[in-house]
Amino acid sequence: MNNITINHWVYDVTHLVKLDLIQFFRNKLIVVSTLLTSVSMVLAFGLGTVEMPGHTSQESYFTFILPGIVGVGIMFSSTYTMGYAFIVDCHRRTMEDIVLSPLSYMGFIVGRIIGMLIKCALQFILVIVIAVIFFDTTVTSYFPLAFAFITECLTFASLGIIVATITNEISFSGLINLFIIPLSYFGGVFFPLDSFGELSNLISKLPLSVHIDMFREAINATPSTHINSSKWLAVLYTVLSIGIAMYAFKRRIQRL
Amino acid sequence: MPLSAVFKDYKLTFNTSDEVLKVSDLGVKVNSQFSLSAIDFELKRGEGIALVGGNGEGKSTLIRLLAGLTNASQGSVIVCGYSAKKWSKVSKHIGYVQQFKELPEGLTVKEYLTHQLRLRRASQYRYEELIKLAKLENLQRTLVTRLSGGNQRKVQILSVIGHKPDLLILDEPTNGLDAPARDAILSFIAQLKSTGLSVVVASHHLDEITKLADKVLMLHRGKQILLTSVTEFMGTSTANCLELFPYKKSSNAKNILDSLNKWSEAQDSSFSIEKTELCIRLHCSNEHMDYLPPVVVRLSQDGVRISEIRYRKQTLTEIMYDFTNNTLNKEQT
Repeated sequence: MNNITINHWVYDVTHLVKLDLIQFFRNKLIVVSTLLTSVSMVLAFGLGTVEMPGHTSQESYFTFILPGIVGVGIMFSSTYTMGYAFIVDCHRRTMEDIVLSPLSYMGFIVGRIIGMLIKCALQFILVIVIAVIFFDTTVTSYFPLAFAFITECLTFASLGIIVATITNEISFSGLINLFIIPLSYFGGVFFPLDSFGELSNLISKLPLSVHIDMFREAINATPSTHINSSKWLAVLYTVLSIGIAMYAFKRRIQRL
Repeated sequence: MPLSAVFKDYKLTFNTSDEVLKVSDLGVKVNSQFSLSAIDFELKRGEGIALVGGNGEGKSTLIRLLAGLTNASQGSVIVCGYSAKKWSKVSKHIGYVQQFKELPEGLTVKEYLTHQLRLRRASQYRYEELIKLAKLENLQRTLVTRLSGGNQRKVQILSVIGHKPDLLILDEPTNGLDAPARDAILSFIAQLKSTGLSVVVASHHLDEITKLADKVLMLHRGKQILLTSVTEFMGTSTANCLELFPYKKSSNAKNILDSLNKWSEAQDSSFSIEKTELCIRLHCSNEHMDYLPPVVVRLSQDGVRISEIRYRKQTLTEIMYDFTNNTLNKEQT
């Protein structure tokens, strides 16, 4: 690709993202519902975990669970936002329209993913700000925080695309829940990964687990003993899932 | 303002090559029951071709193959020298209007169209030109989802011609529109075609075919059973049959029947008379005989009044039925 082609491509993707955000912000209900889940979760856990029965540790349960709340919120938002966006695009036949423009299908996916990243970032930043202002949370390091956020968003957005290519608006939630509901319970949201005993080696390698592990390191510097492999796995999951999503997307467009 | 006035300054610039679309031995297996095969035709600049056939005969599948959205299992589609599979290459030459397409929520006509122009790398100056072309100047700030069906269709067409494509592919472009909206859309596309745009249109309507196409390709069970000029295709639509409408329905239908019976008995050619709910049909076995004038004379002599007499035109369904039957008969013999 020469410079002009790259410039055109960046320009097109930027406008696709801009249009996506215009539509998003004009629909107030969607804005509120996007932010509601994570915000209500952080508020409830922040207020309700001041005293936990049986919890004697110096560290509050909220400090422990906050990275999990962040991780699970991003997982649900990314998969559902992206999955339903693709189903709607499919249903409205806007995908073919854009694919047949010079932007091509890869630009379309990148544009949609960046739009989703920005929408998820709003929710992510709001949760962190609430935790810092109202519940005395301190973020240890911002770069790993951003890294964890981006890799998790991309991985689960890609999962949303993959599932959306083989489902419709009704079957999507049924199939995607098969993946993300077990992850919510086994991914280290509520319990430390190391507490799973012999299973912790396996569980710590699951997609959500590696991201929450990175959030724990970035927010309160309490990662699991698997943190190094978590970082590599996060990158691996991102690359793999994007690759599969691109392939599935192209197949979906070409399906009769 | 007449459309011709709107188009006065409108010029499309095209590639110099004359052949816009070439389809050779095209086929794809859709499932175990249905496949499209052996499709062959070509389209020159400014020409139009109508794809006709019943539902499920393969029109939309063929349209998707032409647009490069589906991979063919055999044969090729070449658009302005490029394989239709090369999206990045052919996208600048194709404008594709889909059969079912919803416009996005929350965007005005101006926002949507300027975005589509950007996507297709068309100059933003084209916006004013296009909005005027479609007579949508007063609706620029209206949300696209609030437009009437006809205007939504116009917006869809505008968004795919912004980059001055060489080939416009339309899948049932007036589907679901009322009569005035249909007329407006057909005139609009016909004007675009007159400026040199080639058109492929999948259609169920004779008026669409006559206004937009020069050739007709008929599909039956995924096979191309006819490729002919519109003139020849429509020529078959005037069957050798007269329709006579009684002046007063109940009172003089019998008089017409009596008069026609007497007249036909005196002729060399064989005639048959059929009474329908609205009219009386007189069929003649001699294809070359013009028998309208003598019939009018005879009715006049017998003092029978009629409100209307005309050659009967076949519907698209009837024409397709005839062609299909002919093809099946040939296959059987």
